[in-house]
Amino acid sequence: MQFKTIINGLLIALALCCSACSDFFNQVPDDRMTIDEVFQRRLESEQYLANVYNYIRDESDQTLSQGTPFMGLSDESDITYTNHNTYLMNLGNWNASSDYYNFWRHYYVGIRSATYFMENIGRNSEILAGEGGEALIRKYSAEARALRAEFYACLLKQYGPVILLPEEQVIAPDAPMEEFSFPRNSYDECVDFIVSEFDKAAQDLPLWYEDPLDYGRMNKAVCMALKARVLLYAASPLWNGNTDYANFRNKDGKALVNQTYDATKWKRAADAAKAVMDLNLFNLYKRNNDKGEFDPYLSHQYVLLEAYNSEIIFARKTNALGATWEWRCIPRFAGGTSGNGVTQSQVDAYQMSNGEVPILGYNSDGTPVINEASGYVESGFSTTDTPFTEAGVWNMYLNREPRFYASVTFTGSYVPNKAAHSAKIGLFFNGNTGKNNGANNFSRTGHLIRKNVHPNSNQATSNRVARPLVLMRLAEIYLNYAEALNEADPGNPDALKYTNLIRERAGIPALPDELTQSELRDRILLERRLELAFERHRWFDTRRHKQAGQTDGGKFWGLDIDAGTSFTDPSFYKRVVFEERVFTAKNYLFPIPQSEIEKDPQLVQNPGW
Amino acid sequence: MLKFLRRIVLITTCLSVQVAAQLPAQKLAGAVTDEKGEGLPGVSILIKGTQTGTITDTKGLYEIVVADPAAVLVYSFIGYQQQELAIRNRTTFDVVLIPQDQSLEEVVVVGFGTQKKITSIGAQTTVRPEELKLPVRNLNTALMGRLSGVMGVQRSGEPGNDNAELFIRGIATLDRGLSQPLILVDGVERPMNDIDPEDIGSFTLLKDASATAVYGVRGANGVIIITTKRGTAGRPKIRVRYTEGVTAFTKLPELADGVTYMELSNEASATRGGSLNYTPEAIAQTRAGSDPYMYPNVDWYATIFNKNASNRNANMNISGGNEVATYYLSAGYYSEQGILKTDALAKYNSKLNLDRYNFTSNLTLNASKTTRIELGVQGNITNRTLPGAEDMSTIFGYVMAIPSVFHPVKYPDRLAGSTSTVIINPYNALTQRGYRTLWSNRLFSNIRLTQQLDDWVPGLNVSGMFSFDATNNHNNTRTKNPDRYLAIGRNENGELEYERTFIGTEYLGFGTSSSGSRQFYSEASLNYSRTFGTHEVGGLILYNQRDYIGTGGDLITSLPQRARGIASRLNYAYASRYLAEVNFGYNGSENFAPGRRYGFFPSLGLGWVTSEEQFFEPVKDVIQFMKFRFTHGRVGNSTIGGRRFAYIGTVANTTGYAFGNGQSNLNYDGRDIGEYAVDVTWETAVKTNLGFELMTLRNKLNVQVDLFKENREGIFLRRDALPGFLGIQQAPYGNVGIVHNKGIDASMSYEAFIGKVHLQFQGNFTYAKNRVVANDEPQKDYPWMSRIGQKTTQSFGYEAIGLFRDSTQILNSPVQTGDVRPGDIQFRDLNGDGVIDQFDIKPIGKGAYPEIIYGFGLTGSYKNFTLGAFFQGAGNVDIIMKDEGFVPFQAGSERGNLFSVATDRWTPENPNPNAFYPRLSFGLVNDNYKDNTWFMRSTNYLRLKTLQAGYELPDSWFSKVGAKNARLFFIGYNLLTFSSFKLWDVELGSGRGTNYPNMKTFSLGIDVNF
Repeated sequence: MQFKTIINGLLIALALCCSACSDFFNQVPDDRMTIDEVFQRRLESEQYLANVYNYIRDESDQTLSQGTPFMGLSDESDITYTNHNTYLMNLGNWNASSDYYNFWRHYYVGIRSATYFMENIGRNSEILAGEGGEALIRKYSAEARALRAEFYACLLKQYGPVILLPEEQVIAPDAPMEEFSFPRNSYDECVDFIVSEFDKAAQDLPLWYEDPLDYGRMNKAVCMALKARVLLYAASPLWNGNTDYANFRNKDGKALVNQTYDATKWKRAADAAKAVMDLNLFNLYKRNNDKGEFDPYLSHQYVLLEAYNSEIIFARKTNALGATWEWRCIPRFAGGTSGNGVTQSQVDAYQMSNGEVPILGYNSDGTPVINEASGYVESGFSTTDTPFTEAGVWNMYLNREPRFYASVTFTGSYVPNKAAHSAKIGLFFNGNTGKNNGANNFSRTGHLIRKNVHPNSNQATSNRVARPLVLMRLAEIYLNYAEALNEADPGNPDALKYTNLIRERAGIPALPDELTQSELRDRILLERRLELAFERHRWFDTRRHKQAGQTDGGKFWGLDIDAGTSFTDPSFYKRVVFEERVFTAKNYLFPIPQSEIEKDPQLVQNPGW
Repeated sequence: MLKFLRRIVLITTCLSVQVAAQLPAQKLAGAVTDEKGEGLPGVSILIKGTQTGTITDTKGLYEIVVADPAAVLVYSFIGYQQQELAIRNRTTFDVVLIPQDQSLEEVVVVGFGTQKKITSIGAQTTVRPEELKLPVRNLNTALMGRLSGVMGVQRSGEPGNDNAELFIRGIATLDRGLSQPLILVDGVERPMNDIDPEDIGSFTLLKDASATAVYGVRGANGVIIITTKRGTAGRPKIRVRYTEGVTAFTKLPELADGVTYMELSNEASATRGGSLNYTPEAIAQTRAGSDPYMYPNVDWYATIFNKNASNRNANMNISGGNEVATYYLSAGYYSEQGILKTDALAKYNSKLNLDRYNFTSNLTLNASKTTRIELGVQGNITNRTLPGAEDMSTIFGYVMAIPSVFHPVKYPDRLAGSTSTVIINPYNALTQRGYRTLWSNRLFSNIRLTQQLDDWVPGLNVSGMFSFDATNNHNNTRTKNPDRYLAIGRNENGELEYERTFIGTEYLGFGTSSSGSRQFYSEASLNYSRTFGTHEVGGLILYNQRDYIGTGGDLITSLPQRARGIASRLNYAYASRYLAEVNFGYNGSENFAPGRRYGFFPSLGLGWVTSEEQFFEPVKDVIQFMKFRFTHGRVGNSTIGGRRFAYIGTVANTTGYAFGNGQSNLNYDGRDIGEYAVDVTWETAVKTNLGFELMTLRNKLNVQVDLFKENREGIFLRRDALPGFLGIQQAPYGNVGIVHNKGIDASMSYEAFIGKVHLQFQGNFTYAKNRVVANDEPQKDYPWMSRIGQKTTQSFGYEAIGLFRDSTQILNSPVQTGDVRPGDIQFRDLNGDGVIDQFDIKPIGKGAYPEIIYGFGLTGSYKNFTLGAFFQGAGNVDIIMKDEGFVPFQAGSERGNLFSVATDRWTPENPNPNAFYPRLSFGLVNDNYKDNTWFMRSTNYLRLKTLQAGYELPDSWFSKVGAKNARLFFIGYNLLTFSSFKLWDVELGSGRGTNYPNMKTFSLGIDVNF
């Protein structure tokens, strides 16, 4: 009977549905890799470690809002783009809720990943089964430890005293709330921890790279160099007996910054730098010209371009130097965007080829006080060619030290890849990379950064020469040493010696012997400003020396980019204010993001924020 | 509906007229007409108590021989009230049949079935499908204001991208995106966007727990149930409908011309001590317009949009059948021509247009007296052409980024454009970047078998259904990015000199992508419904399961999504007076840990039809019907966003790192924990509904009011309270949120004759207000900073007091950030610490999602004419204006268009304290444009959503071609908007009005029945 057939059919269908019940939902992806399996396999564990390395920031991107801001916030440069956060921050238009450049989270994620790696790598059966497995695990673990120390160091530079988390274990995400409320540790505790971690890591790491494939990893030399930087910062006035921070305390009253100056901190810093030098692994990079003669210009240019030359201690292989940095530095007509400007004060800082400082200071109306002895002239145009300039270039750019020509693009110069783009660069209003018709791509200061632009790169054809981004080089160690030694042991000839080694490589005469401690300090800091220009040191240097109040606030000068119709139109070559920056005492540190303050009742905000 | 029924030739059993011998037979004749006096063919006339009778002829005339003078004749016809008349020796009998008051017999759609409307308890609303026949492609956009309980916004009118965000009774969870209702078409979860309104048989909204509990973990956000039309027995009926429309933007933002831009740019800089950006000569040249290449002055909107576009809609369907089989077949075509300009130079078509072809076929087979098989197949094919590189909202963004004076649209012989990657020539982006063709095919099919088991247990039937749906989408992209140039000057001969700003490709590249999905759905059920005297009993038990696979980018998204469950209902009515109902859903989701997959979602409903009480009889002349309903129950929501299988932790591919000295290199991918495993489950919603229904004024006034309350708990959220220093990659999820939502929805309809004019009024109203009770928010320093206690869509910002008058006032006021001068906005220092900062941010306004949605309409008909208007409005909604283009010179002179309203600004010369903009600035130099009340505006609105006029052509005109009747009509859509907000289309929301505005349409059509 038809009716019964149908009923039976339905019942069978129902039964079929239900028989499938047991595994209907069990299609969940249970054969996916779990985090436990990652730590059972070698390649996956190595990938995990690579992931930890990636929290070393690619600082070649100094412009985008997700980039690293320390160059654009310092007095050496101006990022053209008024919709970028650096612009708002320079105007003082930000607060703890702005969440600009929130590296607090970034580095703490790196710290957790590093800790988790150390916690778990020890049971990797595949590595343990291999030859030298245990040693490899020790090495990898030490790399993670060194990375973690460096992440803490980066936090310390940006935010001051931070929270030191448990060393051996990560905190479970579902732990009860009480388990993740911590107060900040004091600055000195942080420094001691970072130093001891670098020391501990160094014990299990090779001194230097044995295999070409290892370049870029943490090793003993890198740990020592990074440690030397941390100790230099710790000895500096901002953190060494800074009474401005007397009330910088936790809620329970614990002082976060020591209140008594301790000269031995400089000694510790000097010793740490000296220890790196004493490894005898590195030499100041020197490059000869076609004729086989030492060429300071080429040396300063190529020290950042030639991968792992004798001076490089630590570098990041993957970076955006071509796609972002060069693109921002290159003038518009050559395919770039003219976005990385150089402030007038940085241009003024470069010494003359005779080693003299051209400008001693500024009058209240912003006009420079010229050092007559230097031979610097600020009016008129040259009538003859010089090794670095053609006739017709403004006199301001004449006879400067070679580092100036390797670092700054000015009107009348050429792009490094002159073969591809032969036009003379004009940054004046109607110039080929000037404001007129430039959309948003023009320098607001009338100068562009030239440093670390490869002469074979061509932005117009997207042909970019890849190279590691240098994060630590011997020149810095020399200058760290000289600076610390001049404080720890004034008169020690090494301070002058290593400063002069930098000057020698820069192609300018040595400093005289008879400088006072204070004079030498100024010259060391000037060398630092010029040698390490646009390498993301300046923001920190002005802060740790408590100079930022003078350098980072007030009127900022450039040339009159709203004027000028030709290369010799004097209306362009005149100092004008392009920006008035706001600096208050709170700007010595970044604010901890407000959302983080809310989440941890014990976490105090930085002073003034 | 009645009109069609009138034309049905009833299939009746052949009647033999028996004449009683002993009594004198009496011959009786007459005409049966409808209420308009037209003859009704096919009316059945029976002598009461016998099988004897006749039917009326095509003109409604009849003859019948009656033996017994005391006999009573029974006149019956579908859709009309049955009439009984005693003969009493009369020989002619003209009868007027009155259309049936359907409300008593009307059935309503409920979860997995239907119920008699009079005894249903759940809160549901329906809309007549006729009302949804609007000149829009997307059904989803036509619902607001038409059904009580539907709330939402339509943020874009872009063809193919114009989905309104709909919420049933408001937003009750923390993530708007997870508040979408469940949409069922013919019982299967399917999208409704591309259904041809012509094919809709019924459209129902289920709102409360008793209606949605059977859907268990899928029901918390409400359910929309759409059924497509089925055929009815009778000879074939053919219906043809065609409309042709002209569309235009409701409102585009008005932008400043070049001269205004330059002058205000100078002012913005100079008023804060900066230099002038444009020389007087440049401004003069721009004003003169003599050299538009060197001194351009471009209205970018005019370069990319035509004034009008068009749409076209055609549908033809045929239905009919006999007692064995009925059918409904339909084919539809919809086409929309975009409003974008195309360039004659382009060798291809980048017109934004869309063509859609729909077909529907529904068959019902009565395989035996007790067996019914229903087959439904629907499908559509959509073809779209788009500009190659960008979607429309991006191109709108480009218009906002590029000032009118930057460069011309194009040069005489080449394209214009800068080197910038953010200031893009909108004209190039639209017309010079190639084109994309998208086509998608969708097939929806379902077969259902229902077997009556009355022989076994009276009132019992069993039913099984299987559905298979498949969709696929293809996207062919042909793009290029040609060279562009900037004129840098003119040479001695006056010829333009160019700088090539971009080296690109002149030939079209090719790319393709496709995606698809398939879904199996099956259900089996036992239904029972029987009346024992005054007791009506009903029961349902149903099993269903769904298995859906879409193409996903990774393993997790490509795994099938599965759900299954049991639904059950027991309902009881005593004398149609006391009603009780129990519903439950027991179902699960694979998203949760094995022990936590299944949930039980019960609900209880009680009803009291007061008008059926004895004591009500005296007032029944005044109030014909009155009912109270109460329901209470629990529903779930297992939609938890992108995260599936939350109980399993994941390993993510992260950014890796590379090592090596430059010659030998080693690149590693990165790996880390992606998501932490968490023991989570669905959200639950406890819903309570109290409803009241009333019919009065002889059933002409119909009122329905529902009060509702919902407590949503265990809302699936990322744990916001975990501090950043824990270093967790992605904060783990938890069932930590709680939202309470309550409100009222109501509808009414009224019908009246004024003379010969038939008037119909309908209106509805929905108000819903939600409140965050818990959201895992960390402790805030001040209570006003907290989101707890606020609406889920609350805006936060500073409270503006006014504009600073002078520098003394600034000095004596709390310190504000940045460059603050007279004419800048003064903010209130809420915590009194003398500084305006993050601690002074508080809830401002009512948020960008309306709390009130209402609609009302009036239709009048007189003879062959009908005229109707429908209005829709929203209340308790406001927006914050912000971002590039709206903020003058947000990025200095570098980029950013300017609204023409910028001339209304504060200046030292004219320090207007009520100026629209504060003192102009170059870049964001202070907090003027942080979210604050100065730039908040109410966007309450009332729209003339539709204006319809129709004329029914006299039958005589058409009878020769075989048409029964025909109607000409006009529909205007979105014709008028009343709102105090004028800057851009009022529904687009916060920001700067850069979405494709809603469209208005003028449409003419014809509707013919054969």
